[in-house]
Amino acid sequence: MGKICKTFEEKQALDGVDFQAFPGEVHALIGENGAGKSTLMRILSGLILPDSGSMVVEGQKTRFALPRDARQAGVGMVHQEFLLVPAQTVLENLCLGNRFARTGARLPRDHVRRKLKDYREKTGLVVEEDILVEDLSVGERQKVEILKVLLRGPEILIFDEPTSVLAPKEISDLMSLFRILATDGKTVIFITHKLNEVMVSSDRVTVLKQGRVVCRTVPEETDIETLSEVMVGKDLGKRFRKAESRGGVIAELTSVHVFGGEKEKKLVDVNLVVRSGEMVGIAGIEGNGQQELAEILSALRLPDIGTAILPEEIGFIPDDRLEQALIGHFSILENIALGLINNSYCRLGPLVLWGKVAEYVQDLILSFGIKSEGPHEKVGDLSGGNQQKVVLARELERSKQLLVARNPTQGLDVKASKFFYQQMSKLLGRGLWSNVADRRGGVVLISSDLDEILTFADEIYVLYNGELMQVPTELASRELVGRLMLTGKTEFGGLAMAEGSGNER
Amino acid sequence: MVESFSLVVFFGAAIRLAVPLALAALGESITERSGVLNIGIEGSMIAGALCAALAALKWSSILLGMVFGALGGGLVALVFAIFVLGLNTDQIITGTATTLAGLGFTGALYQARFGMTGSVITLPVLRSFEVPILGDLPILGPIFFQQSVTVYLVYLLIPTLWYLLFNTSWGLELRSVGESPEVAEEAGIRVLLVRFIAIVSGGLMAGLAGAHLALDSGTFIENMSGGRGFIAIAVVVLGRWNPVWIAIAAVFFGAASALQFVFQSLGSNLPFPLFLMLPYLLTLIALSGWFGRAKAPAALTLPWPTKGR
Repeated sequence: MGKICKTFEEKQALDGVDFQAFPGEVHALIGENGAGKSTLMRILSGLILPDSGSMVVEGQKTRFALPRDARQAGVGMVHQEFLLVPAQTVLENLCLGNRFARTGARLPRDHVRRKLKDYREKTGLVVEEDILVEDLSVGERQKVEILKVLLRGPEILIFDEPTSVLAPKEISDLMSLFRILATDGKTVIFITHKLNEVMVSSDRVTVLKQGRVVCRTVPEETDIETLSEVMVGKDLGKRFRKAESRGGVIAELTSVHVFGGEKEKKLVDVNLVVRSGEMVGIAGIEGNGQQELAEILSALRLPDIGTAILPEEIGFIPDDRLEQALIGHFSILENIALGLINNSYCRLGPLVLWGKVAEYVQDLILSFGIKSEGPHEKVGDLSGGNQQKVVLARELERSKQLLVARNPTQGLDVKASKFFYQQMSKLLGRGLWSNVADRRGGVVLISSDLDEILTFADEIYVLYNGELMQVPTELASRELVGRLMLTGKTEFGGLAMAEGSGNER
Repeated sequence: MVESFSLVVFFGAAIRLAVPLALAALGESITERSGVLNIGIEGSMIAGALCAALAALKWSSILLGMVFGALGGGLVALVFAIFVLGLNTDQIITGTATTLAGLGFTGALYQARFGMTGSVITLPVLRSFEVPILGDLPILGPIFFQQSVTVYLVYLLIPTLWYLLFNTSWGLELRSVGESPEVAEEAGIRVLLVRFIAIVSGGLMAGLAGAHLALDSGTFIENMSGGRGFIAIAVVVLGRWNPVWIAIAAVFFGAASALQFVFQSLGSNLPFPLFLMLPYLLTLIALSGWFGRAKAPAALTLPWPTKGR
């Protein structure tokens, strides 16, 4: 693939990326969230079209308009979210995935069974054929997904973060499968941000950062430290002023566990204390338990085990604003009023005092710089950044005691981010209104943006595989936290592991 | 002897009354398996009845009546499909509109053709005929094998649909579209085309059900579908989207209606709507999930493509 460019809504996802992979190799594609790894691979598998650039697959210059084209050219992708029909059996799913190879109208059950046997001997992949997919564990589902793609006989296999859902044993099995496939002459490309996997099982590595290739190397010539430095960049050495004093405990989580599906643990023994006047930063790569932790902290969900003591007035800034925070068909005014519905200021009995709300919303639109045609414009018509400002404006107003924010400044321009942090400081009792001591709240900032965490948080934690580890502030460097985010491990050993962790799942 | 004779008559009537329900429900199950809930089949049914009546009247032919009945039902479903698939409108609202428009339009057409008072039209009537050998069986013969041709058509449809649904690639593709259109699309299936075929097939069969109503009674009356389209949807649920169970569920509803006639003829003072209510009660119980799961196709009523694509 050469000089691939892709832009999504003003955001450049890929900026002239060159990428080569060869038959018989296991190629690791790594990078931070939003670095463009998945975008690149989706282009290779025909799911999206590049804006510019060229592709040569198997010696043929190509341009895939449809997944079908990519498949015919021998590219198969194992998606992160498995494309399987839960209510059908494994065999039916495999038949469906290979419908283009069928002959006649009869369901090719026997044909698929025979092929499965071949692959079992070749790769050691064993799945029960007549069981419903919905009854399978995540690891087993992945096997089905892999078999589905393998049955199509591809030459290039792409795995999109295949290990994020697997147990250690399953991961090592998968790595040996990669090796078997590569030995068989196939090209295996896998996307990951777990560097230890890269070191152990890849032949070559390509590192993407902000839509560009920043490094091409082989594992023998590098180490985890170098790679993580390349991935996340150098320590900026700048640190934000920390809280001078802290008040009483606002929220406390004790031994909180959350279980996902059958064998899945979303959160493992999480302990967390938030005091008034402090900002707790939780770093980590998405999908390590952020969603569950945020839901617990904002009282949307109860822990399966453990206790969560939370204040009454909690503001929550979720990750997916249109899904969880805003109603697209409602106006800015209505969306903000929804959050203030219990506020006596804008109510008279059951009546909403729209005049007052409108005045208030007008103020917010000005102070946050929400670009709109006024309070009555539909939220769905605003740009992503402006939608986020609406959420921030509302939730900051609500969170008298605790604000839980997930990637709050994602999609915001510099001015709006700055304003947001000013408002946060107010909430924390710093800055202008610091004399209002009794109104000091706490903030939990859950972010995959390491700079954001390091700059603003008073206490730094890393969430990895559902485990929360505290990083002593004096040790919190960009490298250390970055490595913890990626590997869950550090050479500082016991020092950095204030919360008993380090034990891999 | 008298008692066993009346039981035979009762069950025979149950089968006969079940036919329009079974036809419409089998068709609806195909539609629902593709992820589309067409509650407009009542409209297809009444259109089928009128078209069958008009065709049978013009050519004095049962066969042409049935063919045109099916086509009429298919045409109404085609309109539904254009709205739901082409314009991505809400399935429930569109289906309701289809039903109401179908009832109103056929009524208007009928009045325009036969006048306000509605001179009773007389059509060639579906006659029952006896299947050789099987018809001679004691008890079972008179119940199952001395019926009209539509009954035998249903007998044929049950195993055919079952085989298509569970043992062919075509059936797997249909079910996948209804369970998870994303997966189906990735597998190279044209989701909207499959849904289109499923909706029109359902409409053709509902039209056939309407044709049966007209040709079995030998006349056309406004609103003669009498809610059977909706009953068919309940039959699909009770039959758990499986052709065999749907047929059994249809007989159950048919038996409930037959029971109503029995009690009326016996002069019983039990209010007969009680028996009409029974199958619905059972449908609710079936939906409750207390007796195993009655799971609808996962993508039922969900629009496709979803927003943002």
